[in-house]
Amino acid sequence: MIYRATMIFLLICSSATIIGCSALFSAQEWSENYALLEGTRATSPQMIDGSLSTTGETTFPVGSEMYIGSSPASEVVITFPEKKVIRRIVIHSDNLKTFDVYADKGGIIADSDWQLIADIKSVKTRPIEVSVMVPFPTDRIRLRVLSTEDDAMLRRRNSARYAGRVRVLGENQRAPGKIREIELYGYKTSEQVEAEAATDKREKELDDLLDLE
Amino acid sequence: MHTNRGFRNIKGAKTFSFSRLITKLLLIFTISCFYFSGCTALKEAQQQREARLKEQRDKEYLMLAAAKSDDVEVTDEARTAESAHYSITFAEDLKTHENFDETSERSEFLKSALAYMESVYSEMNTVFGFQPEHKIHVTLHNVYRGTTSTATTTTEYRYEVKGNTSLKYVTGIKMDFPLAMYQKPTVRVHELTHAFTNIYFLPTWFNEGIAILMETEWAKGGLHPKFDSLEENLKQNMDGINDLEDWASHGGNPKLTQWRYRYAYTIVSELRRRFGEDFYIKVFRLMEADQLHNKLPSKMSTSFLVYYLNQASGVNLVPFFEKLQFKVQKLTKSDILQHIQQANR
Repeated sequence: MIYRATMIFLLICSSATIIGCSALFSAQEWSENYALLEGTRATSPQMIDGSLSTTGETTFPVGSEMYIGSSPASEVVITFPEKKVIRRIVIHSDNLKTFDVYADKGGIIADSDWQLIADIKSVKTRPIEVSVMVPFPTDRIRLRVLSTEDDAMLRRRNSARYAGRVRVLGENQRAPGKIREIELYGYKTSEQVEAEAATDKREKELDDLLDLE
Repeated sequence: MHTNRGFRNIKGAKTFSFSRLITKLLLIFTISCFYFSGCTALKEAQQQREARLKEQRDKEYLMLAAAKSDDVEVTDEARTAESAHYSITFAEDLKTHENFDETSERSEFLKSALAYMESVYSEMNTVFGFQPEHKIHVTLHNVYRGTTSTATTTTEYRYEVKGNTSLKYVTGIKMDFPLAMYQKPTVRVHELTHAFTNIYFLPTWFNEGIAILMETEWAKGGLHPKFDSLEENLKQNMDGINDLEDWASHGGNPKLTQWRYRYAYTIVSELRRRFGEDFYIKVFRLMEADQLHNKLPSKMSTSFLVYYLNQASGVNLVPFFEKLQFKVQKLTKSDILQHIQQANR
């Protein structure tokens, strides 16, 4: 009796382990690009238009031209129509050097609930791929440009223009980030994967039928 | 006898348990109804809260959707490009600019600029509820009218006599930007507002007030803050009339010009605060329905404008403008028609 019970228990345990492992080892698929969802908006819409031939510039905070002595960072904010869990960001840019990315936790007080999700100290490959583990769903992403390849040239130009004279108030020492496209991905849900597999199967069956004819 | 009673007892017990079952089912049904309706109400409240928060959080940014159509045609060695609602051309003095001396540089710039401008156009169409009939022709300069800090929007029109009335027809809209001004998103919004509203031949002060309102409150920028009090910051001309009434063209005393922008914006914003976010949409709808602006011999007068402001608000605003030393009178539609007839006599 004890032997039979032990066997049944072991059988249940091993099947649970196998099911768990298969779930763990099955490949996760990337979702569609959330930046292209209907209703997605950005401060620079060229960065979410799905075209690499248009470039958007990050914008400096309102009133930053009035700051004296400081060079505020420019940024781009993207909002989604609904909250999404972001796992991967792809940025097509020719001039970004260092930047950070924030996700909005959606708290009550406006602009106080940004959580840093990526801090890129140097860009090694282009397009820039950033894997992120945002532990909460978000509907707002902010990319802040800390330095670009164009900063040095801008500083050189500014110093040549104001050589021997007082620099104009608010002359920014940072160039804006030039970004062709920002792609944002999460994981596909199991329902999406199943639905896609079913569609593929149906299409294959139709193709086979057409081939037969 | 005993058996009968027993039978009755069994029957009674069955009836009792049946009614108990019904009561239980009713109770479960009622509780689930409460639970689910509670859940729906809670969900709705949650959604409303999220929408409110989202609106609050986006207050600092002008969020734009990507342009729907990417139908851009680049021509003439990328010196000109055209999209659904715009054309952009590089002026002669920009052709030697270090950022635009190669075709690929110009082509990319033009495509990107048109993508942005189309996004703003589409959003502004939603804000105003109408759009100009004509394509907007933008020319980018290095220096425009001897400066890098003046951008203009010109609405061209011609007169045509139909019957006894002389009618104004818009024939084209053009914008001129020095590059330094074009690079400021709020300036683009300001000028595009003019492209939309110029078709109504509005008084200059109102036209500029609306443009600053859009630049400041919609595009979240602008350098013309509102005055705290309209009465305390009033400026009058030598006839004792509000100086805004003398505003016909740009230029002149920079301090007076700055005051005019700020004061016009304060009036326009105050009226919107009093009569709601859609107040000016109603005003423009009324103008569009009447088509009287086309029949005026010159620009719209403030009294003519106030006629439409009164219609849209349902309030007589003549005392409000009189208090601010505008020279206005309460007009009726027949007064306006009479004035038009008189001009065409």
